[in-house]
Amino acid sequence: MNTEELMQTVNLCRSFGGLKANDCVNISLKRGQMHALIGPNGAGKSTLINLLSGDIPATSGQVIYRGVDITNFSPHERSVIGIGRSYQKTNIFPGFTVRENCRLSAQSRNQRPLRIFSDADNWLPYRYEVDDVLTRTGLVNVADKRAGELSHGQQRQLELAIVLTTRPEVLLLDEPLAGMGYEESLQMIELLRGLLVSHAILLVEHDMDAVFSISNILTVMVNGVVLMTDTPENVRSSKEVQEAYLGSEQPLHD
Amino acid sequence: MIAAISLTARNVTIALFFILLAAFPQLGQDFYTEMVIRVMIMSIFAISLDLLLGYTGLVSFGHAGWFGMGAYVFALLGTKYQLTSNLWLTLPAAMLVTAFFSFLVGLFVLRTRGMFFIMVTLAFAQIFYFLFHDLKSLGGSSDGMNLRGKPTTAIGDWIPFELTSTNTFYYFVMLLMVGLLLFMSLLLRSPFGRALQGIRENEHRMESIGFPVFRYKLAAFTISGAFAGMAGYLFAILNSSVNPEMLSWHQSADGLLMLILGGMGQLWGGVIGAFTFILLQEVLSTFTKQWHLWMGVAIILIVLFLPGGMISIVERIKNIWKRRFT
Repeated sequence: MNTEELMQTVNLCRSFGGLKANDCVNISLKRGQMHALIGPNGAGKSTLINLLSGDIPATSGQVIYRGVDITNFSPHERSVIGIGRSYQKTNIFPGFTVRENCRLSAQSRNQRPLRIFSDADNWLPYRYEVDDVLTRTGLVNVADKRAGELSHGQQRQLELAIVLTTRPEVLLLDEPLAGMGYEESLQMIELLRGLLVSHAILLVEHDMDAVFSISNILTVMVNGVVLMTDTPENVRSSKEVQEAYLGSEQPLHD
Repeated sequence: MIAAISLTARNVTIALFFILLAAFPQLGQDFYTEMVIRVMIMSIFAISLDLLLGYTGLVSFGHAGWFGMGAYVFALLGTKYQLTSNLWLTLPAAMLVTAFFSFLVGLFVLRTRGMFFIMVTLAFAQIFYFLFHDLKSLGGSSDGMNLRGKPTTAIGDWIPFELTSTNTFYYFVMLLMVGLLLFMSLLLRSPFGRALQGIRENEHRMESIGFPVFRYKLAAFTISGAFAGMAGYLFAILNSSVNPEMLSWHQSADGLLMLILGGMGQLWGGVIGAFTFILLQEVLSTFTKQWHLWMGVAIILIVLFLPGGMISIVERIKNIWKRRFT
C-alpha cells in the first residue's frame, strides 16, 4: 500500500486560558490510511481538527504538510494546498441549491475573479466537476433543491460533497456519520472506503462499530493528550485505553 | 411555460420602464425632470450599497462617506483649486479617489464583523464628515461650497454634449444608471459575484473551502465605494453645490432605507427603493410639515407587510398567478 506521509504535527499545543485542550500532540497522516481519532467528550479531538484545518491557531508546535511548515497558514491557504475538512455541525450554504453549494466549491479551485463577463452557472469545467461529485455522493436527485430543505442525512452527504469538490489530499472528517440513519451510514462508509486509496483521512467519529470496521490506525486522546496510537486490534485490547475511555467497567468493544 | 411567460413579462416591464424613463423629460416639466434625476442618482447610490448589504452581507452604515467624497472631489478640482472641470477627468478622478479611500478604510473595517462593522463604518464616515466640515483646505464649512459650473465635456475641440441642459444631464445620469444595472447583472452571475453571495450565505465555509474571503470583501467594498462616489459626483452637479451633510449619517441611513423599501439583494431593489423613498418624501411633504412622521409610518408598514421590500410584490403576484392557473 502507498503510505506516503502527507501531514504531521510536531508537539502541537493549544490552550484555552488555563485549559490545555491539546498538549504536545504528535500525529501523522499517511495516504491510504484511515486514521481514526477517538476519545471521550472534551478529549480535544475537535480542537485537533481545528488546529489542522487552521480554524484556530496553535499556541505552540508545528503543523507540517508535505514537508512544509504550514502552522501559520490561514484556513483558505490550507484548503488550496490540499487539506479539506468537514464539520461536525453541518456547515453548508442553506439558501443555495445543492448544485450551487458544490459549484462554489468547484469554483474555489479555479476562482476566476476577474472574469466578470463569465456566467458561473454555465462554465463547463465547473459543471463537469459538480456533476461528478453529485453522482459520487448520491445527491443527483436533489441537485436542484435548496440545501436547507434537505433531510439531515442528505445535508451530511452534502457536507462531504462540498469538501470532496475541493479535491483535497488530506481529509479531516469531524463526525461524518453523526445523526445518520443505518442505511445512510453504510453508504457513507462505502464512500469513505472508496476515497481511502488516494487520500489521507483523519476520522473523528463516535460510532465505534464504524470506527473499528474502517480504520487502519487509531489514536486515542484523553484530556488533550495522546494516550496511544496503534492498530485497532491493539487499541481494543489495551487495558490503559479501556480505563481511560470507559472507566474500566466494560470492555471497549468485543 | 410559466417561467417563459414571467420572463417575457419581466422583460416587457423593464423595457416599458426604460421607455417611460427616456420619454419623461420630453414633458418639459423641469421641476419633475430634476426630481427624477435625483431618483436615478439615489438609485446608483442604493445599488452600490446593495453590493455590500444585499450581496456580500456587509451592513455598512458609512456609505455616505463615499457619496460625499465623490462630490467633494469635483468641488475641489473644479471650484476650489480650479484645476479642471472636465467631465472625462473629474468623474474618473472622483471614482478613483473614493475607490482608493474605501480600499484603505476597508483594510481596517473588514477585520470586524456584525455590530462592530456597522459602528466602525459609521465612525470612518464621521471622520470624513468632520474633515470636510472643518478643514479649510478641503473647503471646510458647514455651508459647503457653491460650484462654479457644470463639468465641461470637451475632448480636444470636440464637445459631444452639454451638461448645462437639464435634459442632457438627465440622459447622462440615466445612461450611467443603466450601465451600472448592466454591470451589476453581469457581475452577480460571474464567479466573483457568486463568491460574494457565498460569503453572505456562509462566510466561514467560504474561507474553509479555499476562498480568500478578506480579499473578496475588500474588492466589493472598493467597487461599492467607487460607485457611491460616482453617485455623489452626479449629485453635486445636480445641485451645483456640495456640503458636509452629504457625508452625514442621515445620508447613509437614507441608502439603507431605500434598500429596505425596495428589496435587498435584488438587482432592481435599489431603483424601486429610490423611487419609493423620494416619491413618498415629495408626496408627503406637500400634504404636511410633519412628513417625517408619516414617512416613518410608511416604512413600518412596508417592513411589516412586505418584508422583502416593494420588489417582493412581483413574487407574490407570480405565486397567486401560479395557484390560480396551474
